[in-house]
Amino acid sequence: MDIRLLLGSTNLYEFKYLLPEITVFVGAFVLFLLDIVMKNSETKKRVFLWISILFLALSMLSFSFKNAFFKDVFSGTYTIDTLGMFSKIFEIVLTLLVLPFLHTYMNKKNTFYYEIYYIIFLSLLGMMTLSSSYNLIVIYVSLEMVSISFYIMTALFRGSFISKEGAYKYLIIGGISIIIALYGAAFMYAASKSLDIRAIMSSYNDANAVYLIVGMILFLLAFAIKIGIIPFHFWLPDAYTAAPTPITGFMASAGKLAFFIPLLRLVPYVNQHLYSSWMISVSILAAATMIVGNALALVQSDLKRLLAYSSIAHSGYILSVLSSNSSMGLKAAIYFVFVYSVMGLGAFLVLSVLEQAEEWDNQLPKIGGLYRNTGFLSISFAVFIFALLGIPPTVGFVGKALVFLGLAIKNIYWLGFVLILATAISTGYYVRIVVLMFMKDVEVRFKPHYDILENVSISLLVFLTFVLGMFPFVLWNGISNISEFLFKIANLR
Amino acid sequence: MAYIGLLSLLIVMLGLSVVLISLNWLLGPKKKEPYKTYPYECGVPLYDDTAQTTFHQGYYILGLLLLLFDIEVAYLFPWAVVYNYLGMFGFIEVFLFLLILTFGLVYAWKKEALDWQFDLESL
Repeated sequence: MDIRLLLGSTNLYEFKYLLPEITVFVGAFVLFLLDIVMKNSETKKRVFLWISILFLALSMLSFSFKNAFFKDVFSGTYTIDTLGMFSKIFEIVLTLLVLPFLHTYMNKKNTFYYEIYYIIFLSLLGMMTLSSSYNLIVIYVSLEMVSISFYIMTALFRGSFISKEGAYKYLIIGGISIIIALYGAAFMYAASKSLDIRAIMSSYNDANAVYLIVGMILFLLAFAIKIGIIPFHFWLPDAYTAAPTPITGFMASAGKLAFFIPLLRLVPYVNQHLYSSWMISVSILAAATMIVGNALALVQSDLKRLLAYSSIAHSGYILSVLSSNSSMGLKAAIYFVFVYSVMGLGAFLVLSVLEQAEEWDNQLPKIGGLYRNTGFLSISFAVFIFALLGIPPTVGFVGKALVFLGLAIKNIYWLGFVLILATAISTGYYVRIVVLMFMKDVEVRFKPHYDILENVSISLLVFLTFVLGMFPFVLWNGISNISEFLFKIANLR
Repeated sequence: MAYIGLLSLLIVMLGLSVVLISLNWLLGPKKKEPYKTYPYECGVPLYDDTAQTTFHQGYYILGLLLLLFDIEVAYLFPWAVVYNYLGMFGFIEVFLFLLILTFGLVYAWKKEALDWQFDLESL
């Protein structure tokens, strides 16, 4: 395309739809300049924390200036819609909840890097663009942006060999997945002469079917590596164990949410020609992920690693309902991915507070009698564990019930039974944690320290875990509209 | 049969090089001298006889910075070629690109990556 034509077709006023993203970007640069200008001191640490919180709050506020319900901006490369807005707000809130923990964790562990603040901002920017685009190039660039920030943040643990090892594994396997995604995108472009996923999927015909399917398989393979589906999961436990624990929480919640959004956007465009192969491949991957992820978590003795495997298993739960390819299934998947980000983040954040104690080394027996050390932390940890297991009245129960419903609507009962079996396996390790915490004698005596911001953050996550479980329609009404709208748009093409 | 000339050229090439090198090896004078087997390293004495030690970390930082500014030049060449066609749009884009790279340079400077007098104990 002629550069001048491209320039002429860009309306500058369309930048107002990008206001939250621009705010985050400006925040990253402000933090960067401050890092260069200011001398290292205690004041600088506090200034960084509060400036990050300020810019995230500004970004939240700037959502109120948007007035488009559904709109393609910048020649169709960027889509403003409700799903994007929901996920962006969630990502910003999750980042806000992580920041205070990151501050104290880095202080206590003597591994304070000012860089991590603006790298978090840049990865948040990548997540926000990833959540709101159908364009292959934009998806690729934002995928890289999120992943590279994750590699760096995984390695930012001073003096820890394991951290560098995990980051290196993540870098190599993540790099391979990015290459595979690019290769698949090239095939999809060759098949359809378009970079827009909507146009690519509706251009299906017998002549280009082979290229389209090869491209789709490669592209989905890359996403399977990113979200940790079972045959491609090897980097995930290492990277999650290696990273500083608040960063692990950030990767498992906001990162997973962002990586799932392009898959969710793809589901309404899987037409009847592709449906059976989509259903079979996705459901087999999901079944393997649920069973193997939970079985591997059962034998872990390291708590952080156990939660990492549980995160893999939850990817399986979300993926399983994508196989049903119905409006109900999409609703269940969106609901589950949102609520997993809440409960998974909560579990990792509690662990990050516990890790600051000298005597704590993440081994499972050490959690014995935690209730007598710290009541608040152990009760909130139990709440998150029960939510991950799926006990009513927490969000996990509603999520799993909806996933089962989504599978039952399309008569994929066998996958539903695999889900129940996997949940039964997971009971083994989740309940063991709770039993150790409440019914055993104190293993190590220590006093975990958390300040007011961390207290507020954990309380808010516990609150969300209960409220979204007891009154699911708070989130459900919005999600229901989103899903039906996505399907309506897809059927119009 | 069309490529028979090429094949014969190949055979002559191989045969001639084998003959010349083996003649050199057979007839040439052989004198043992200590500096003949000494590895050549840009004219400076070797740091280490075995040449198997790891390099100082500072070299890798310099290597990364070199890569960064190499890539900058690699992107500037095509822009300079089509400068007249792109006009103001291209100028602003490249200005932003260079601005971001300058931030990288300032960052490296402030974090003392350009401090070439490595203090072995501090690193």
